[in-house]
Amino acid sequence: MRMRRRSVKMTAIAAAAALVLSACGNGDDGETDDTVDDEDVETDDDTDDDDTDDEPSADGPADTTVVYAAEQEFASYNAGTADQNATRNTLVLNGVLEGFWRFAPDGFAEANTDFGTYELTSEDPQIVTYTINDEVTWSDGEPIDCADMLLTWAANAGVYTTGEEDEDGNETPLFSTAGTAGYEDWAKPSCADGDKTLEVEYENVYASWEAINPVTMPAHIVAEQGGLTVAEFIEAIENDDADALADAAAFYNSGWVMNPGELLDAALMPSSGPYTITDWQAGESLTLEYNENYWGEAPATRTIVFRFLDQDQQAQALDNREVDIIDPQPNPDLLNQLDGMQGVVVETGESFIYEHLDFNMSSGSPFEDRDLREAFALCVPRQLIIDNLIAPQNPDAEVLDARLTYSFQPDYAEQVAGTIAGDYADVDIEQSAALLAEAGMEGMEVAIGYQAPNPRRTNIVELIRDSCGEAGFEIVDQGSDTFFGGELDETDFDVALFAWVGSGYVSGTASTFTTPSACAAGQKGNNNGCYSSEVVDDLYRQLLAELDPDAARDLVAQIEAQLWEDLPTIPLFTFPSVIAFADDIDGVVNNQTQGGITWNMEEWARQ
Amino acid sequence: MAVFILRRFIISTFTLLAASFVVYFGVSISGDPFEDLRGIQDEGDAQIQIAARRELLQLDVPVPLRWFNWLTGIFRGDFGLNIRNQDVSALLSNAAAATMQMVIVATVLAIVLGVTVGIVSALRQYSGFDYSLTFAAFLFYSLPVFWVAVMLKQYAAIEFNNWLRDPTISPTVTVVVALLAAVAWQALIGGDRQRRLVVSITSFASTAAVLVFFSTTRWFADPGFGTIVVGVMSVISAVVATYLTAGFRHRPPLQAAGATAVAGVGFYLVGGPILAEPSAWTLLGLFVLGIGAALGIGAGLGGIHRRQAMSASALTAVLVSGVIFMDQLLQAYERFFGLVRGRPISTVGSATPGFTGNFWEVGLDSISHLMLPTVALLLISFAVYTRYTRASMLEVMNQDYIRTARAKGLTERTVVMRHGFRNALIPVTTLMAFDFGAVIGGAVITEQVFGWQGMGTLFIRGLNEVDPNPVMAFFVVAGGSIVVFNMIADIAYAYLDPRIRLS
Repeated sequence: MRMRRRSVKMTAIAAAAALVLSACGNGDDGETDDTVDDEDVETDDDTDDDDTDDEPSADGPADTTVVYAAEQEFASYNAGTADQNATRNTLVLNGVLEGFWRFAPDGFAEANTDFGTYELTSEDPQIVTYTINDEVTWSDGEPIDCADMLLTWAANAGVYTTGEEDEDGNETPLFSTAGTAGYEDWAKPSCADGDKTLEVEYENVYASWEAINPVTMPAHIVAEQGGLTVAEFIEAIENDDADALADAAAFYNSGWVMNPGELLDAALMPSSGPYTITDWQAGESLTLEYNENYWGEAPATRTIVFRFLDQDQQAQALDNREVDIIDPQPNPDLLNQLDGMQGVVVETGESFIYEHLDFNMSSGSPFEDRDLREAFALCVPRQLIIDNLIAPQNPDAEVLDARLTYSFQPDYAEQVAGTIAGDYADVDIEQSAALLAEAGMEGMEVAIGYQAPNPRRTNIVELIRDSCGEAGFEIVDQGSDTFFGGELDETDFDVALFAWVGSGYVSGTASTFTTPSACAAGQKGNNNGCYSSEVVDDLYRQLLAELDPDAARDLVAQIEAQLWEDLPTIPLFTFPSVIAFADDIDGVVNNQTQGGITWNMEEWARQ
Repeated sequence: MAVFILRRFIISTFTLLAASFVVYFGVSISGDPFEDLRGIQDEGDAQIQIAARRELLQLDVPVPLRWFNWLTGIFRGDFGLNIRNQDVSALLSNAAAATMQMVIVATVLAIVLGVTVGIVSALRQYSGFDYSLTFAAFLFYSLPVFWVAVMLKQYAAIEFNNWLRDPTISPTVTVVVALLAAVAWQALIGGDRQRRLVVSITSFASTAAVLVFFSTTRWFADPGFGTIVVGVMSVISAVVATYLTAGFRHRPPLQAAGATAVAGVGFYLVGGPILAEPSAWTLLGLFVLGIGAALGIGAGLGGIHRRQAMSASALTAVLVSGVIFMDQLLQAYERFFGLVRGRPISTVGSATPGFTGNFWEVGLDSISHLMLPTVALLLISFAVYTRYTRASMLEVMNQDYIRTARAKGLTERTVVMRHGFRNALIPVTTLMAFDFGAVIGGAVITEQVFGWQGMGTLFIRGLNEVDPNPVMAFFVVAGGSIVVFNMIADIAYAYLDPRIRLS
């Protein structure tokens, strides 16, 4: 299938920037299967054969409708708050709120030069300059400017509090946020109402600056609902006047949350993207229509409908063409069903979730001994697990050999090349048994903990039991429905089996592999096995402060190599993903990042 | 009576209170409300979101206290917030509306069809028809509804829509369907061998003819009745209505029904402009007007059989209105067919998103969405109603007063309709009340399969997310309606059956 890309092709800047954090290569070549042929053509330059009628033209989008099956119902226009940071909202808002960049399928920011530009103008101190293009406005005519960027900072930096304290003595934040990373490192930004440029100075070097999007919600609406003018709003931030901001914050936190079917007044939800939300039938559908005041290039299709539908019902609905695009969790039955359909394109791929085994390396655990970890790693049948459990859902699935890079990312091969991952590629029962005997631990009991019920993980434990049993391990299935929040936090396991949801940016992995402040619940971060290595700690310290992409890539490779040396965890596989769509729909591209499949909905077109 | 109601009310209240605590407690400890946040690898993000959810759901308050808070909220009409910070009261009203929309039609149809078929089945006890129906009823009753629903979606929607691209009927199918029709009709009508043979041949031939007609004219691609069919069906309506209400012994009722049918067709011929773009109210007004006119005709032509004539023509008016309604719907089909891109029968939801059109087109859209869930629900309730009605009717027909009625020389029609049918309905009425109470609780599985976000979805989603408030909203409505309707059933029974005294 051929696809068209908008002019916001990943630019050199974006590609280079992407390297910083994930040390992954540039996205122009060797993209994953999901992204298909990447022809670098403008939207209007349509290379498909005979579908000229419905092509976007200067007059606007084609008068057609494309229907996407969304599993969960939309809930809030503001997906930046702690309780609304979920795909149910972001999938819709992809077409409604635009910013400096978006998550491309490879996990990196794809710059949106139609919106504005951003660049690292100084490394010491770290300064990033954001410039919004002049014609860029909210759909109500209000220019998108510096006030909006100030709002994003105020809402996400966590500097303002209500003055109240919770039971643990922490002050309650004034604005609800899903995460303060990055923003909390900003020196307080300052600008005047109407400025289109903002210089952001980082007080602490923040290597993931690329993953910061300083335009999110409309500040003029937040100010107005808080009883302020935009100028007063800016002034309140300048003066750190939390009281003055209280009403505005209250609106920001919950004013955009809607009950099903009760769409807020359109004036409260101005759009910065190609679509606006025009209709919501509770429990049924949400309709996005072309934003007539859109400052950018018109989308391919006038109307996008989100049809709220349980995953189990999506395949038949697609077969009956009640929906055009689905992206359910794959399972073998579903794939068979999809394969049997006429006129449906099915694409399988991988996702940004990976399954892994974590050793308990806290003091007193037998797995403090590296030889025993190696013995165990040598008997875990990683290929067999994939053949039996994953290949039926993704025929191209391979064993995952990295913890910081996903196997479908461009730089994966390079990252793995410098490690000793190859030593563990095949099961070696003899070697495993020999190591076990050397340590005098034959018949050692290994309790594998995971969140039950989960049939797939039960099967994984079974496969490990068969294989490692031969080497002399005694595997105990310790699946428990209190695993998360219980055994995992208490470090009450020998080996933990679960998955991480990640992204292209590796900064989030720091707390997984750096030495915890204490090996106790609530203090060990994500380092559940209490792994500790000065080498890795040091490398992470450098990585988090490294602004040069090539150097960062090198650091990631070093961390990965050291992790293979130390073996605190064993990566198993990435979760499979599947998308399916009617073959008369063009422009559908799988995207397993936070962006989701709707990331490029403005390119969806019906032939 | 008042004492009885009061006593029932008090007992029910305490039952509900106790049950609400059990359910609330059960849901609250049923899992980890943060499970979906545990996998977030960025530790800061995860902690912020977990803290926000703890605050929202008041997870640091002990469960019994949370239940108490919930309970006091209920008395203020506040159902609380769900895990997404949405108002559960609003969710509940949406869910209840969706569920009602789906189950009411199915329940009403199940009652009408189930009772009718049950009566006929009782009157033809131990006939081929009775045996076939008994078999079918048990078959339907034992079918798992999710399976029926998925099969309906596959064959009645997807495959049917595929077939509509070229709607021709193969000779084999024609013969098989005609044969089935022949067997069914002769069993239904009964009689001696010769009569059965005639009925079989007639129904075989007419069914085959109709199917061949449909096939060659590609009727399904653009279905419609036309004036002739409307006329013929109106006449048949008049005859059937007369038979059911008055019988043919006297002329006036038949004449009145006939006149009503003629008037109906007359309106159909001249009323086109009114019918083209009506509102629901216009139609309702016309319907009431039609019934009124029919009653007038009955009164005028009835003579000494005024009452029977009036019921006969009123029933005729209802049936003819139905025929005209169907005809108008089918006239809108062509445009509707284009709007849904040639796939009229849908598998999910209650309407095509963004569909606009006149009353008939929107009506077609609703019907095409409601059809399959209605059939799925219908099959099962239908079986229950048939069995109950049959048993009740058989019991009544063996009563002494029926023998007395026959001995008085009443016609069989009067015996069955006036003396048998009415009394047979008493136990069925109470069944309806029970059934309705249960149905409000949601057709959980049917909703799921047909993608309706009704009461069942509210319940299941709440349970999966360890979010007690939506589950409790479901509980209040479902539990409450079961209690209320049980009480109504008891009272109705006492009211309908003079032998029973409450208290």
